[in-house]
Amino acid sequence: MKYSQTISTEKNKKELIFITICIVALIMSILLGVCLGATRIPVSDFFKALIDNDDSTNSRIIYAVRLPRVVASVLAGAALAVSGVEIQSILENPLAAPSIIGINSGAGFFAVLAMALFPNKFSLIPTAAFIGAMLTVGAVYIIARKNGASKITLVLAGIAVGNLLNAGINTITTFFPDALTASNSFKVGSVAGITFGKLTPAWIYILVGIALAIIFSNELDILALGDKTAKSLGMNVKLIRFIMLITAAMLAGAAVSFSGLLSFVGLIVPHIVRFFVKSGSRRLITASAFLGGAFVTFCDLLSRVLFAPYEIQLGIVISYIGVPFFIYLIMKKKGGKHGDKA
Amino acid sequence: MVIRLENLCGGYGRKQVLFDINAEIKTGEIISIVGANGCGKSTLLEIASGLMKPISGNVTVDGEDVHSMEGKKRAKLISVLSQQKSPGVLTVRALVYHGRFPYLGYPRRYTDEDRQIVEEAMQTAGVSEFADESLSELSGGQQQKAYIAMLIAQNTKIVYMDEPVTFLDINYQLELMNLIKRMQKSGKTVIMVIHDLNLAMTYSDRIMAMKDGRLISMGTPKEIYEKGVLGELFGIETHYSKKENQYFFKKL
Repeated sequence: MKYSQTISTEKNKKELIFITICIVALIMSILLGVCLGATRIPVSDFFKALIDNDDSTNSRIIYAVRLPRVVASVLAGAALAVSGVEIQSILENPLAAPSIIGINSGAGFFAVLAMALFPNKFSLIPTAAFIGAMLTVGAVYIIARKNGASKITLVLAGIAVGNLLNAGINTITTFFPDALTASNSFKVGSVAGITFGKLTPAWIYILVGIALAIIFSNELDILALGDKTAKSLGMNVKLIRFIMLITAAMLAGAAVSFSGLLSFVGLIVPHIVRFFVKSGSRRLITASAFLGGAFVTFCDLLSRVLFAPYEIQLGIVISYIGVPFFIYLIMKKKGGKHGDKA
Repeated sequence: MVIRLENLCGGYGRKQVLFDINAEIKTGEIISIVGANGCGKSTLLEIASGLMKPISGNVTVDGEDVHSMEGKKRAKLISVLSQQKSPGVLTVRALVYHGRFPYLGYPRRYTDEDRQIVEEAMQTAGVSEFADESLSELSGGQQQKAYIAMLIAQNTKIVYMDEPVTFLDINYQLELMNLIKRMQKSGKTVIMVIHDLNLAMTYSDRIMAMKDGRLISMGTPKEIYEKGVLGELFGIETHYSKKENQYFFKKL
C-alpha cells in the first residue's frame, strides 16, 4: 500500500486495536447488563431467550426488564457521545458537550413541557426534546458566533442558558406534579423502568443521527479546520454546519427524551476517544458511539448492583465517575500547548 | 487569465475597512500586499479570494464573478492559505487529502491521481516524515507546512496566502519563497499578504501598498522603492543595495 489513504502502520494498528476494545467493551456491557442483577441469568439463557422467547421466568425478565434497559443505555450513551463529538467540532471547542452548553436542558425542558401539556402522548416526547435541543443549540450558537465571543464566553453562555432551562423544568414539575411522576429520576438521568415502547421513535432518531454523523465525517473534519479554510475548499459552510447541528440536536434530544438529563457522557467519552484516535472524525465518531454505549451501560449496571437491593440513579453513578475525570481533564489542559486560544 | 478588482469596498458589520480598490493582476504574477497592521490587507485578501462578500464592487477572473461562482468550482480555481487555522483532530496526511475535497464526487472516493498528488504535495512541502502525526501535536511551523501541503494538493491556478511565513524559521521561509517561484513557473498566480518587507521586495513582481483601507500605490518593487512608498506606509527609511540586490530598512 504505497499511497494509503488513512494513517499507516503502527499508529493505524493502535487505533484499530482501540476501536476493537471499544466494541468488546460494548458487547461485555450488554452481556453483563442483561445477566447480572437481582436474579442472575446465565449467558446461555440470554442467547436461548434471544432465539426463542419461551415465556420462562428468565426470558420474561430479559424481555420486560433487562433488555429494554440495556438497549436504552446503549442508545443513550452512543447518542450523547456522538453528539458531543459533533458539537465539539462544530464549535471548535473541546470543552463543549451537549450537557455543558445547555442542549440537554433544552431538550429536557421541552420534553417536560410536552409531558405536562399532552400527558398521554409518549410518542411526542422525542420530537419535543429534539425541538428543544435544536432551539438551545441555535441560541448558544448565535452567542458563540457573535463577533468577539470567546470559547469561554460560549461555555458560560451555555451554562447560563442551561440553568435557566433547568429552572423552567423545575417550574413545570412544580405546577404539574403529575406530568412527571418520576421527575427526580428525569432530572438526574435514569433508564430504570423503561420499556421498548418508550424507546420509539427515539431509537430511529439515534440511528439516523449516527448514520448522518458518519456520512458527513469528512465535512466535520473540514469544518473543524475553521470557517475560512472550509470555505476555501469549496464547502458550503452554513449548510453543512446546519446539518451537523441538527444531527447533534437530534441525537441529544432523542437520548434525553427517554433517559433524562444525563450529563458528562458527551464530554468524557469523546475525550477518552480523542486520546487514542487522532486520524479523523470517522473513527472518532465510530469509537465514541461504541464506548459511549458501553460506558453508560456499565454505569447503569453499577447503579443496579452496587447497593442492591437499593438502586441509585444512573446519572449519579455517571457523575461519580465523570466529575473526577473532568477535573483531571481541566488540570491537564491548563498547561497544554493547545489550551483555550479564545 | 486576468484577475480584476473593481471598485471594491468591504468591511465587517457597519465598519467599513476597504475603500474603492481597483487593480488588475495577470497570470503568473507574484503579488505582495503590504501595509501597516489593521490597514485592511487581510480583508482585501478574503474578499479577492471569494471567502468574504464585498459591500460593493466586484472581483472577476476572466470576466467571471468570483462571488457568484459555485463553491467547489471556485475552490478548483482559487486556493487560500488562511491566517486563522484550527488544528482539528486529524493527521497531516488526512489534512492534505482534504486539499482534494473540491475534486471529490459522490461517493467520496479518492482516485489514484488524488493519492499521487497528495503524496507529492507532502514531499514538496517537506511534511512526509510526519505525515502520520496528529496535527494538533505539531509545532506551529509544522502545522503551517502541513497547511501549505494542503494548498499544493488543491492545485489551483490562483493561490492566495495570508501571512505564509508565520511560524516558519528563516530557512523554510526562503524555501517557501522558492516554492512560490516554482508555482509561478508552472503558471500559477500567487497573491500574498506579507509582513516581511525584505521577502516582499525580493520575490514579488508587483507590490500592492495599502494604507487605511486604500490602495495607495501598486507597482514593481523598484517603482515602489523609487516613489518612497514604504516610507509613507511605515515611517521608515529604505535603502537599496545594488551589489547585494537587497533592501534595507531603518526607522526614521
